[in-house]
Amino acid sequence: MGAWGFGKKRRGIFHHKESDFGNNEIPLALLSPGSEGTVSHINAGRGLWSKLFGMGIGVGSRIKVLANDYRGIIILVGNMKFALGRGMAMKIFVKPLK
Amino acid sequence: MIKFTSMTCSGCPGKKFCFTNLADDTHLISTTQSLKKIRVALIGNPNTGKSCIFNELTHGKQYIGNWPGVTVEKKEGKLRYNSYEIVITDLPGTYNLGAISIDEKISRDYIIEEKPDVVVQVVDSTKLERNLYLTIELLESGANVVLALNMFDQLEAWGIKIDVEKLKQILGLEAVPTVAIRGEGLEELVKKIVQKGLNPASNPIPITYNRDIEKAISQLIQEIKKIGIKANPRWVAIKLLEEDQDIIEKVKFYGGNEIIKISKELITEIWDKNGVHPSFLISQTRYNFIKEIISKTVSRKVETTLTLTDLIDHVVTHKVWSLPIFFIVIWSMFKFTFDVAAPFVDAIDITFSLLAEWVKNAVTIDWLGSLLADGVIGGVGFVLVFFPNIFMLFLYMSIMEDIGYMSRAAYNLDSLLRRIGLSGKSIIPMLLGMGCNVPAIMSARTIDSHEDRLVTILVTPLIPCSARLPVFIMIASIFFAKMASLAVLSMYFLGFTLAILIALLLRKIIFKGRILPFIMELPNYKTPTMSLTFSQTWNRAKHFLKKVGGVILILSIVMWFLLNMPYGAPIEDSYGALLGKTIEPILRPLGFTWEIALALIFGFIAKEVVISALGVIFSGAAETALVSILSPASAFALMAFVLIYTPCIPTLVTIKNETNSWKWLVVTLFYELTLAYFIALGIVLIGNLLF
Repeated sequence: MGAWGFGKKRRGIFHHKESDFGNNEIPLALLSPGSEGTVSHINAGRGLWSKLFGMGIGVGSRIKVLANDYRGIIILVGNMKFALGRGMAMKIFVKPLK
Repeated sequence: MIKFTSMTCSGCPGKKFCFTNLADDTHLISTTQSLKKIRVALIGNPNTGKSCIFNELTHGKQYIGNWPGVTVEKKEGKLRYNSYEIVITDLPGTYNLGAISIDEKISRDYIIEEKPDVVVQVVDSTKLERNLYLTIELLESGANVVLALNMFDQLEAWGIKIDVEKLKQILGLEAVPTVAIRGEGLEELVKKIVQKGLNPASNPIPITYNRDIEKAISQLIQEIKKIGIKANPRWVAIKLLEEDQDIIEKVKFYGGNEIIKISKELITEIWDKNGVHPSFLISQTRYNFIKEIISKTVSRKVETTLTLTDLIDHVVTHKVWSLPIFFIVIWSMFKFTFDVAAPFVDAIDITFSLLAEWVKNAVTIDWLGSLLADGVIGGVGFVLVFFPNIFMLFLYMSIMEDIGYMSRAAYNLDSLLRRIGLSGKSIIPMLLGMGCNVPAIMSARTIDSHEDRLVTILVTPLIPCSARLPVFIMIASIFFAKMASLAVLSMYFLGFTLAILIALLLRKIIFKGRILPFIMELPNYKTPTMSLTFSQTWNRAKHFLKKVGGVILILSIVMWFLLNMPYGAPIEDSYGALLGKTIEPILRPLGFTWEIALALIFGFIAKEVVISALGVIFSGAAETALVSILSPASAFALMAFVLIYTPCIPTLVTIKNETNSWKWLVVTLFYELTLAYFIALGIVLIGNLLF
């Protein structure tokens, strides 16, 4: 499998085909304040997964990063604002927009 | 017609009218036999104004908590419309029917199992897109949905237009624009509720999944229909494909082990074929479906401007300033809770002492007068003396929540709390714990993961509540003179340190699961509607008082019997003394005598009772007696003991209720008694070595 190591055996995690992981995909936690990206993949367990969708964050959502520091990250999705811990922000992968 | 009253509603002042609450008008109740009943559930995302709609419809007779997404208890209200009696149940806020936290589970179970005639989903119109996710799930569950498009007046400010007719048409349901804080659209909403209630035909399901999933669903439906599970078979099938643990358990409970096996096979099959877990496909299909609906019904001028909220957040969630701000908020919480409440506390205290005095003189039978004055009136006094503090604390926390600060606080402290095995959401229970452990433990309901929640509940009793403070102050001022405030402060330090250590220990030994990653919505800041907050807080405090008051009253009567029976005997010969003397040997290494043992037993009722118990046992001369009995080291040990030993009975009862098991009650009781004993012993040993 690819560099991310999502083998099919990995438990409780979403496994995408290798082709889903392009080089331009990075965890949300690595985006700097002010930058934007589109969610390409969410690497979370099922419960969390559906909760994120319910909150309005899904694959295709456009995210703007407002703050990013040791505590986590604050993002804007549409007109909704969310605070995410660093662990959460590492589970959401985005394709950065210029 | 809905009956409007001209008076302003106490729950929603400034409103032009209010729906008459059935429960308020006793003369109406007699005519209710002929009324047809319609059961309605109110559901919605957090911060959609759901509670406000409930308040408007039911005249504010409710009990709610304001933590994000929590309506602490299932609350019902009634409304009369023509010949219909509409019974409304307000459910805790939830983003979906996935049910991670207890709160969300309460909402889901109600919708699925109680099957209300109509489900009203309150929607924040400015965030229609994500609200529709819950709508889709509700429709799939077979619910009879009416949408209340709330905050409709704010659309203009956001540059959004919603084509309501088209939305209704696509989703095949009723939708009513409302502005709850002004009462607009609510009459129309009630009309639609009745209309829908009379035609319980559920809405057609507007969404289809890909061929593999649909095939699996229809295969599962066949099987599910064979067992007696009380839910829409299609919805159960979808939940099985999503591997929802709760539903899997329920299907097993109905004897559907075979179904689980089939669904597991189907999941693997779909997974292999599509490369992703079916639950991903299901969520994504819903999400895409919503995008399509939005593109057909909503037009939006895209412009993002810096809002006031963003400016405030720049400071409040700043990586450096957030902490000082947090401490200022806590400091003012204490100021508010104690200083503002102080005159009321004094007034209640004086009133009850006078009343007790009067009863003692008025009742000629000696023992009866004593029972009424010391046992009953004293007991009621104990309860009521708490009330102003509890009320102010609730009010302050409500206001902070309404403003939108609490979710920021949770975020700011998450990374810190995570290190000690708690989550950012544990901050609310810990703060409330400084006022009273009971509401604190109840507020842990918003914590998503079961394990995070249990750890929070188990350590919360170590947070020094306001009932322990007077005990600390009394002992410290007797023994430590100039160092008194330092001694009191050290108790807060000890309490929090132990809470952290125990949390770490529990994480290491019992709850080894990982802490769920943190995510929280940051709602826009807003000025709280004070009158609404005030009436809600009043209801909550009253409810709390009722819950706890009975227990304390009964125990204070028991306390009277222990101290006064056999009647007329000196206190050394009372049953209470006998009890104290039995326990004394265990506590002797700490330097505690039977009098103190007895006072500590009474502390089970509420920890501040220790003071009055000492007063009674030493017949008013507690100060001199204590100095002669206790060494300074033992006195300090006593403070620590009062801090740690068993949570009071109301707290224990709450732990049992919230965890739904006696096990955790026993665990808490046992670990705290042991911990208190050894910490106190340590203090005495070290103290004796040093001095």
